[in-house]
Amino acid sequence: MELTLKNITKTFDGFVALENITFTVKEGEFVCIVGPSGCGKTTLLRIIAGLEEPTKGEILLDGEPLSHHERDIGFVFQEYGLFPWRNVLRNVEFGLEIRGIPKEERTRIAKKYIEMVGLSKFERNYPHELSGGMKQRVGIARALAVNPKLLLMDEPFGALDAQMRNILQEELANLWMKEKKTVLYVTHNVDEAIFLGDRILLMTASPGRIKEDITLELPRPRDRASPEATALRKRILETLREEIIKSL
Amino acid sequence: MKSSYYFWTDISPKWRERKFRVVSLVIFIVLWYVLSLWIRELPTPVETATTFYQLITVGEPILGRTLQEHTLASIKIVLKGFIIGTVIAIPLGIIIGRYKLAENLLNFIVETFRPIPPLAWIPLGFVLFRGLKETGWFQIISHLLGLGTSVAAMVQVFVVFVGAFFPILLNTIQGVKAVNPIYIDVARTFGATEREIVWKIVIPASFPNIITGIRVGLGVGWMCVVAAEMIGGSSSGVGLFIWDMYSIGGGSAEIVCGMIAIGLVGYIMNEVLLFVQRRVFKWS
Ligand SMILES: Nc1ncnc2c1ncn2[C@@H]1O[C@H](COP(=O)(O)OP(=O)(O)OP(=O)(O)O)[C@@H](O)[C@H]1O
Ligand SMILES: [Mg+2]
Repeated sequence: MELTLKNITKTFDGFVALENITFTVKEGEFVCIVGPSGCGKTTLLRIIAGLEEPTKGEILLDGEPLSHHERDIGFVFQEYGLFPWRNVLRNVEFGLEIRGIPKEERTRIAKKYIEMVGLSKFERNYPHELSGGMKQRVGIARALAVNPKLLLMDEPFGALDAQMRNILQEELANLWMKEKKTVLYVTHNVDEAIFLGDRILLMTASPGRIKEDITLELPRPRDRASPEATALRKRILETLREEIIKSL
Repeated sequence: MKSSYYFWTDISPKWRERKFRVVSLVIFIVLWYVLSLWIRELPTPVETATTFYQLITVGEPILGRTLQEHTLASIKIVLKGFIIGTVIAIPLGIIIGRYKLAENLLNFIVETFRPIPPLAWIPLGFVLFRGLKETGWFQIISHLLGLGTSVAAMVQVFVVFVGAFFPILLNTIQGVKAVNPIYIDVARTFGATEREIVWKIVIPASFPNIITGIRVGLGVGWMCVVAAEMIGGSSSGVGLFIWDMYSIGGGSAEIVCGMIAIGLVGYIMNEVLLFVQRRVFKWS
């Protein structure tokens, strides 16, 4: 699904969090948003998900206003947001339940996605029995289970250790190549953005604006250590550094 | 020496816990015995045990009822008041906890009524219910509650209701307010309606607090019924039993037995709810 943001501005009691954000994400594209802490990345995703109203501007999904589409968006939260009172299966079933899908079918669908993220053995476990990496796999399965046309991910692997993060990045890249979802992925980890994205939107320090729109022409599966990736990483890091210093 | 050493250091914590319980009970009874030698009015543990047996098998001298009959009568009253309190307090707590408007409207009233001790409602209860006794709806409610035409029983149920109501209400409000907003965001991204958010997120997420409120509320209700029965008008109940034993002069062993019955029932009610709590919340 194509996502278009037109002049999105968001203020909280006079504090400008986002200023004039305009960009388009094409159908099937994996776009990463990279920016310094506090520049409004989460706020931007929340606005796109319909959890927050923009102060100004307009959001279009396939050319139509957001309100017609709320249910076609999946959101993966940094803090996982799993329901502790539901086991893995029932967590993944949640969105299907809201959509009124009958019990048997939603169990079947949920199991399929749990298998996809490699957690079939843990269907009956409760979130507190899972590691961080497993929890986020459940979070991803839950978001994908309703087959959303747009997937929003807010630093989904931010709380994980480096090894686990790399593994999940690879899994996510594979999943995406299979499912071909439109993905908007927020991170402040430049390596992650280069590994996953078709495009990287660099944001300025608060108030957040789009500073650069970089298209990555790197072949997939990505090689983290390729000279192109290294050069790109250096360039992005320098830009980010400037932004962070400016904000101090 | 060796065996006493093992007595204290047994590896199983569960058994150690039980042993400690037994040990503390033995120490308590010994202290009680010493005290009862000293204070003549206090019955000895043995006298009390004998009386307890008498009360269970034969019954008390005034109405000829056994202690368990009295206790059961009190439990019935408690459950009635407690269930009404729960049924009203939980939905009200959810509404106050979730909707700012309801909170602003009701918070002042709740906080003004809350400090009034449940027992302070007894006189007003008698006045009101006596006045209402002939009305149809009083008779319907009284009938539904299985209270016959007893104004006193109605007052007792009402006092238990007041006692149980506030702990349940406050814990529910607190639980609802403490629901992690991210759970609600997740539900909203899936397009959940407000109704679904309340049923599928707010209620299960605040359940641990609600159960705590229920546990505390039942405990307070139990204290209230015993006190309310002493005030008068009742025809049965542990509170009445204790008061009657006092009124006929002396009977301190009987009084202590009544108190033991109250303590045991309270203990069991609490344990049952703790068990439910652990069962339902294997996730927390
Ligand atoms: N509900 C709110 N009320 C007031 N201010 C808010 C609110 N939500 C966010 N902000 C402010 O808006 C700014 C952007 O916040 P946001 O969480 O979107 O940043 P972020 O880029 O996601 O940061 P991080 O990288 O640390 O996650 C911050 O200064 C934050 O304090
Ligand atoms: Mg954020």
